[in-house]
Amino acid sequence: MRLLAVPIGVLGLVACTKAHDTDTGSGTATVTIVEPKDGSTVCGSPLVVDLDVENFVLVDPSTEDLTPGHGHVDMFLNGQAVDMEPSEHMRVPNVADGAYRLLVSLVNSDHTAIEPYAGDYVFITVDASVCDTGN
Amino acid sequence: MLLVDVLLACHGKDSGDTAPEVFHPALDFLAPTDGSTVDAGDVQVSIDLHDFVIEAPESGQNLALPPALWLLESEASAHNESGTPAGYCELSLDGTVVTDMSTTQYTMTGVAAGAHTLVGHLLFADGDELETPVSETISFTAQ
Repeated sequence: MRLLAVPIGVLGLVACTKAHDTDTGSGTATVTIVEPKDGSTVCGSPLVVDLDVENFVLVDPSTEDLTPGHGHVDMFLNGQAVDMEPSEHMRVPNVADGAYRLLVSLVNSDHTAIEPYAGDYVFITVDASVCDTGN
Repeated sequence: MLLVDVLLACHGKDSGDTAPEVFHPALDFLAPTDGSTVDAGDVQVSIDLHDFVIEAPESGQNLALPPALWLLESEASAHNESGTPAGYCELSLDGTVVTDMSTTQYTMTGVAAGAHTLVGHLLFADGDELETPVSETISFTAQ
């Protein structure tokens, strides 16, 4: 019985690890901020953010489906949560002028960070004076 | 027996049966930056926060509760004991408090030309100090 329990126990460990793996079979989940660029000055009405998400299935944040590799994007400005979206295209209305650290991260549907962590950040300046230029 | 232990360990991890989350509040100035030179007059202040939710300072008591519970209720609420620490940033210029920041942006007006010291100090919404005090000091020049 002891001999049988050990290999089954190893299988249990593998299964336990797999349940937290965000690799959907084609690679590790990643998110990259495409726009705005690091160091850029942009309009905050709205602040337009474009992302590139790889190997991760974006689903509605209100879902209770905890399928590994499924979840949504959380966005933070200067450490403050501002949006959660199941999309690579985000628009945050009425961001006040100033300097910001824009951070995005991929999270599970229960809002916990995926493992391994997947996130990206840029430093930007929001300035209403550039809004009229179509930026 | 070993299999049972493994399954229990796995179940415990999945059910969120883990150690309490530890927060390390921190504050950085994005603008002005330490050692920078800015235009005198209006000076934009931008702060970056970690593990800290910024909100307005608390005022008054919850009148729906008996007075005996005001202190307990307000402290637990103001310290956001169930989650990320929350409060405001007391901003001081050259030793004088200029505002209690409830967002990460503030514009100081009438900043005179010369060298200045800017201090940000994180406090719970009720004005209490964080368990580990957090403050950041920078110097800048206005011209």
